Amino acid sequence: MKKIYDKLAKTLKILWEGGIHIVAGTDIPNQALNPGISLWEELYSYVEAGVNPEEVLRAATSNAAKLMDIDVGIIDIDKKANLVLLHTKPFRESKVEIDKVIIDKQILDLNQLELKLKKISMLGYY
Amino acid sequence: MIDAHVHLACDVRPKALWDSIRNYGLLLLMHRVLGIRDLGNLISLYRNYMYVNPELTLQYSIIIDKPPYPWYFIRPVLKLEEGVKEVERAFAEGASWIKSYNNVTEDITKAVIARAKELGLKITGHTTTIGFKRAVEIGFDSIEHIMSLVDPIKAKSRKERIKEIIEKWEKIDEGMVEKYVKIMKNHNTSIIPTLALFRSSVKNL
Repeated sequence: MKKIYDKLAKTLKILWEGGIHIVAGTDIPNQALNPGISLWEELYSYVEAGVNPEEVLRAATSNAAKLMDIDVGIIDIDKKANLVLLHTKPFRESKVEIDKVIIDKQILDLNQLELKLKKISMLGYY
Repeated sequence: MIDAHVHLACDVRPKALWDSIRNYGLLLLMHRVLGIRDLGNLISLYRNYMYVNPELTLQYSIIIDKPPYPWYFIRPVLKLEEGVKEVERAFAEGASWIKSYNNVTEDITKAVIARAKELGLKITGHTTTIGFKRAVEIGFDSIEHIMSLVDPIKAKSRKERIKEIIEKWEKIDEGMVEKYVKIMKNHNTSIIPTLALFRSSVKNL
């Protein structure tokens, strides 16, 4: 059945190159899918299908926001600057290393993020 | 990051529900998923997720179907008027989407779409009964699953349905996909491929 999967992947590439509005979704909690990480796996499957790694994030940001009519997922003037800045190139390098997070007009490095995480009791730090 | 195809109802046993919501919510947050389009669920879960992550952007849908019902939270729609009523109910409950599932017939879907558009709701779904092309033509805003890009499926059982879909996919070639591109572009239809779902199931297909 790998043949069928390969055909689906090829179809996705044709749709993407044809300018179809493709939006990433996972269908969690269906089989073998876990919340959060599965979205990255979904995007990775597009890269595997031949979509440019630099473009693929759009499926889970601007394309998704457009489908849902919500004002996020785009870096532009007058938009909220809530951003995750990475050291590494997603889908080109195996690791994803966070450099900084910008949220609510604050720039947070990894140490500051750690301190914030410790204040969330549900994460088990207390 | 936004995950546009999620079912937030995880383990709904009373004692397990809160733990599963907390785990779900935190896992989404840890992987930088801050937006969710829920595609068939219990609306009452919305507030629980907001408690875990107040920054979560959450849109939800009402899922409609004719028997047999695969999920307990599906709203049964046997007649055209019931479809219209469910759209109005979804609107009153604050849903943004109607999801038409496997067995909804074209006449009901058309009535649902007409009322949904009047109320500003969007339509998505599986294209099993009416087929991909008709779904696009009658006004689906998005199509769920890349596997759905096929003509109507006649089989009723899940196993037979998968078999029929695979048989149809065996006949699809690049020329046909190019035609799909044209159809979808003409109607401005989005697709949520859920490719990783099929990637993880290759052995089971």
